[in-house]
Formats: sequence, structure tokens, C-alpha cells
Amino acid sequence: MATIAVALTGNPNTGKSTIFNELTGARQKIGNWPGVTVDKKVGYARHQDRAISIVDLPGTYSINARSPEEKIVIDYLMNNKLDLVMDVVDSSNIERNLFLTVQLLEKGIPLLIDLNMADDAERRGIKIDCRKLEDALGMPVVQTVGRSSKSARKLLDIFTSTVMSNYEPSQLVKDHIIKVQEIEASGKTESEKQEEIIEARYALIDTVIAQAVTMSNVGQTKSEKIDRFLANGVLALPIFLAIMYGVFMITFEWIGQPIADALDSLINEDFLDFATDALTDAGVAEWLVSLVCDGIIGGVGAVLTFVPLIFVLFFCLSFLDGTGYMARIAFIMDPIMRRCGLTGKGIMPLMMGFGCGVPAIMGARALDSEKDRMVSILVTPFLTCGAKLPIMALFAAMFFPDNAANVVFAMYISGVIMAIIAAKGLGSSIFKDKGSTFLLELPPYRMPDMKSVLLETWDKGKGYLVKAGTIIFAASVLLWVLSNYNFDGPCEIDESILAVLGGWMSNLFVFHGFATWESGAALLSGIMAKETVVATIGVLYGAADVSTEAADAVESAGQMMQTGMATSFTALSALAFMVFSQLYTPCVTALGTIKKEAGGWKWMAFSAVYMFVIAWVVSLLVYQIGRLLGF
Amino acid sequence: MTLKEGKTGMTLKIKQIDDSSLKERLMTMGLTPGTKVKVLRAAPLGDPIAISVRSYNLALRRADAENVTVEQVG
Amino acid sequence: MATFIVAAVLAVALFFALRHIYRNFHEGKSDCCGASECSGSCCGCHSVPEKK
Repeated sequence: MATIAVALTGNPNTGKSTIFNELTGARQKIGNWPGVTVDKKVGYARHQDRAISIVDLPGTYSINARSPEEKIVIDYLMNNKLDLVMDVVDSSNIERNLFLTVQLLEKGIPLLIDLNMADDAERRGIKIDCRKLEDALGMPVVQTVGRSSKSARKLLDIFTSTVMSNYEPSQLVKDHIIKVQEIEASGKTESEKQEEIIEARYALIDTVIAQAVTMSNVGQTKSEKIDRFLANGVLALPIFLAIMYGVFMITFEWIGQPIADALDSLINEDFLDFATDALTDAGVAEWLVSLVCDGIIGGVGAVLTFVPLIFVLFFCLSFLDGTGYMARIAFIMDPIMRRCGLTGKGIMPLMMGFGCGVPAIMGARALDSEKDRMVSILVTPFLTCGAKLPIMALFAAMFFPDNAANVVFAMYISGVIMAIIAAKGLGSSIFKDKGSTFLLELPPYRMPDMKSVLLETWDKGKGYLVKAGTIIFAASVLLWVLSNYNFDGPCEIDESILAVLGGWMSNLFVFHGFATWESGAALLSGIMAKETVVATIGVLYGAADVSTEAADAVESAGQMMQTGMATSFTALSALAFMVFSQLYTPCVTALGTIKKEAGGWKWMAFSAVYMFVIAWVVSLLVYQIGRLLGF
Repeated sequence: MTLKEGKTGMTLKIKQIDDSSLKERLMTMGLTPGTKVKVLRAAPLGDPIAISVRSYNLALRRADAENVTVEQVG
Repeated sequence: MATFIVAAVLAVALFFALRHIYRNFHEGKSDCCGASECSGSCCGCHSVPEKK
């Protein structure tokens, strides 16, 4: 028998993706819709010996074909032969959700209406009579509770049945369609017609609701009670900071760091010793032992050590994202963003910037105005992305062992503040045009679906592992070669090509307190990928002889790095170095994305140069002011 | 009055939405004439505001709310 | 002999790493969000539509 083709449609925040994940599990393929860069998600399921393919259409509020997403939904539904279209409706928000339903019915698309989160709605005092709703619309209705395998089985049962063939639109819907056609045919202006049609749709919805839904007003919902603290007045901002601080404590103090420390001693002591002995015993040439141990294990190992931190941080951010708190952050940050000439919505791509600048820069596309977009693209790289995290964590652990988490948190905040200042600066100089708008649904708080959170954490964290195995691996080999050879052949490390390059670079930092060729080389290599800064430090200081007398330096950071590093930096110059790495020129991948998104080499070059200059100045200020203050 | 002047706790009935670039989006989101909305709260410094409309919550700026003419009903 | 084997293994690994980097560069992809796919409500990894 042929595969059953199913499409899922619905508003954003209806739990549609959760249902999709529940239905298809890991059997998903993600591609692109032709012509646009919106994800096309297709999943597969088998039920009662039937193969089912399910397409998860983008979540939209309407299908006016104004945005690419809306266009995708309507094009896909109109041009494909589908066995079943399921419209996922959030039961507790049924009125506005039905708007899309009505629009789809107007197009003559038969729908299976899925009243999702039926349990939520019931708790809020919204009772929906499925039979009456079926009668009112003429379409089959099913109730689900989001993430439950029972719901998934129920849906699969329906998908494999022939239920759709028995339904046709109710008289109510047919009358509505005629009314819409009359409005279309009238001689009014386009906007008048649109207005009347929208009103007609809501009039139909009101009739349907009156027939099928009873709302006993239960007063405040749980979300509203929470919002009285999290999204109300000036108090919301310190709470936001406290929540973010909590995330950092979890990552850098309570959970992430202890695991990272354990991994560190495993890689940089046990495994390194084992590898060195094994290779030497096997009779491998000395230079190759050095390449593997000092170069690759030193470089890649230094980066891998931070994998636990990355995963814990990504888990926390994905979790927050799943609760619905992100929309509140946009809401409470809008006053600040607006004063910078931006929109609160811009905070969402910025928050992604804590993960990686690349998707954050791409995420700026969702913003409404050209100005919002450009400014957001140009300021996002100031934030501490996952790849800068190891730099911060390493230096904080080495030079501020008692305050590591606080110092890292301060670095993150400084990145945000710098981004806001830069946004203000860019907004009032280069991009002077009209302001922006802000219209955003505040979805109810929900306990995130753990399966989705874990999937997301893994997907984001996996990239870090892939990078460690590819670009960091290659960079480590290159760095080892550059640091062990010059044009005359093998040489001492401080006569190597890398020392020359780093020395040249370090001339820029004479007044910053870290004018060593090692830090110059580290920063230079950081342009490839920010993790490389740590990899370089691993290779360089790892290659230096570890003398026992400096063993008292720090316990938490890599044993290998202690000696050389501890003497190259003071606490203050380490801080200046952290500030510089935080703010300077983004990595090549981010630069490439900027070129693509901002449209041209000009913006890419601008971004590379202006960020370098700002980093140079701010870092200089930190060091010199710190010195004046006597640190 | 307009929605812009809405204070926390007010229940308002929409009378009319003036033409603006946002009009169709506002109406699609359920702000149609005759609909009751409740002002729930304001962000720090009083703007934007969160309103409850058709049993969900929507945030918008006061500058955009100015285009929505309302009357107070509670 | 051992030197040769280890060097060969490294060379192959390096080849695959460089090929991966080259392909990413060529296709304009990034590893940040996982090599190619991203499920769930993964914000930012799936690109967002262009507003025109």
C-alpha cells in the first residue's frame, strides 16, 4: 500500500513540534524548502503495517502569504496531494488558533483538528465539547495532551483510518465561505476587504466557540501569577539577571566545572602519559611522539576539556527556551533595546549568541526592520559564544581560582553591555532610520519537553565535538609544525615561525600587559575558531618543560599549562586578555556569515576591523585603569 | 481613549483600529472591533504592555497601541 | 615501522578533517548547531525566514 502523506500545521507555541517528535522519534530528515532557508522537517512512522510520512510545516498565525513561512504553508497544502492535514490547536488558546483553521477551511482544505494540551485547557476552566466542535465545523476533532505516547498512538490510529472521507464542511462554514467570496467580489479597497474578512472570520469563530466551548472564568492562570514576578515592572530585570547568574553557577561551579576538571585530569594526565609511553615503547620517532602528545593531545585535549561546560550551558539555555521565558526576556528587555533603537525581539538572536554567533547572526533575519537586522548582525559577535567559553573558563580558573564563576559571569555581562553600547552607537550613526515595532505572543509557561531539550542540547553540543575533531585537530597540527620549525628546519620553540608571527602580533599589546609572542600567537590563531586560542595555549605551554616548583599554581586548570602560563600573565593582564578575546574580531565562520547576511565584503571588513579596535581600546583601558588602581 | 493609555487591570473594549502598517497583523492576532482586552502589566519603565486578548497574552508597545481606539468597560 | 603507521593514520585523519572543513566552507555550513540537522524547537539552528 502506498505511503500515507500527512502534513502538520498550526500556530507557533501549540506543541506541534513536540507532537511531531513524539510521532516520528528520531526518524526525521531536515532539509530546506526550495528557494528559502526555512527548515523543512519530514519524519517517518510505521503503524499497522502502513508507512506514514509526516511533514512538519512552519508554525504560522495565518496564511496571508506575507512571510516566506506563510507562503510555504499555503503552497505546500495547495500543491501536494495529501492524505491528511492535521491542524494542531492549542486548546487553552482556541479562539486565536481557530483563525488559521478557518482560513484553511476557506481554501477548501479538509482538516483533522487536533486539540492539543487539552489538560492545560481543562485546568484553566476551558471545556471543549469535541462532538459539538465537529458539528460546528464539519471536521473531525481529536484531543491530545502533547508529549504522551498514548496521544501519538491515537493520532497514528486516525492517520491510518479512512476517517477524512466522511467529513465535509458544515453549513456554518459553507455560509462563511460564501460571505468571504462576496466580500472579495465587492468593489472596496484591498485593505477594507481584508478588514472585513478578518472580522467575518472572528465572527464565525465566536459562533463556533459559543456552541462548543464553555469557559468558566477561573481568574488568574498559573502563568499570570508567575509573570507578576518575572515580567512585571522594574523588578523583572534583577530577576532576569539572577536567573542568568543561576545558569552560570550551574555551568561553572556546581555541575559543569567538576565534570570538566575530572575530564581534564583524565585527558591531560592519564591519557597523555599513556599515549606518550605507548608511542615511545612502540619505537615511534621522537618528533612524531611530540606531534601527537604536545601537538594533538595538547591542542585538541585542551578544547575537549571544556565539552562538559558547553553541554551544561546549552542544556540550561535550551531548557529556558522551552519554558517560554525567552518571550518574557524580550518583553522586559524591550525598554532597553528600544532606547538603543532596537526591538526587544532582538534579544532572542542575541541569546542564541551565547551558543554560537553563526545561527544568532542568521536569526537576525526574523527581525522586522532592516536597521534591527544590521545592528543585530554587527553586535552579536561581542557576546561570549560557546567557543569563547573555554578561554574564559581557563583563564578564570587559573588566575581567579576563588571567583572563577563570578569572573566568567562578569565577562558575559561585559559582552552584553558592549553589544548594547555598540548597538546604540551604530543605531545613532550609521543606521539612522525609523524605529521598529514589537508585537509578540507571550505563551503560557510550560514544563519543557525533556526529550526535545536533550535533543537540542545534543544537536548544539555535537557541533563543538565535530569542530574539535576537525578544525581544532587540523589547527593543532599546523600550530605544532609552526611552533617547532622555522625555514631552516627543526628549531627551538622561541625561534619558530609561530614565535615570529606571534611576536609581530604581540607588538600591538605592549600597553596591555600581555605582549608575549605566545598570547599574540594564540589571539592570531583565534581568528580561525575561538577554541583555537585555548588549543594554542595548550600546545605552547604544554610543550614547555613542566617544572615542579610551580606545581602550587592552581589545581583546577590543566596541569600542563601551569608553569609557563602562570609566569606570562598577572591576574590583571589575564583579565585584559580575557576582555580582548571576548571582544575582538569574530572567527572566520562568523565573518563569512556576516558577509552573507549583511550583504557584502564591506560589512565583513567593517565588522572585523571595528571589533578589533574596540577590543584593543577596552582591553587597554582595563589594564591601565587596573594598574592605576594598584592591581 | 486609545489602548496606549491603558492602565494595568483595566478591561477595555476595542472600538476601532486606525490604519497603520501593523493593522492587519493586529487584527489577525485577534484585536478586532468589539473584542474585550485586559491590560495585564507593563514592562520595566511602563512600556511595552502585556494584554490579555481572546484568552492569550500579547505584548505590544504603547506607540503601536495608540492606533487602537478603545472604551473602558471595567 | 611504528612511526610509519602512526604517521599514516594521522595523515588520513588529517585528510578527512580538512575535507570536512573544506566541504563546510564550500557549502557555507557551520558546525555550531550540529553538522547538518537540528530537531525539536532548536532556536537559531534552523534558519529563520527573510522578511521582504
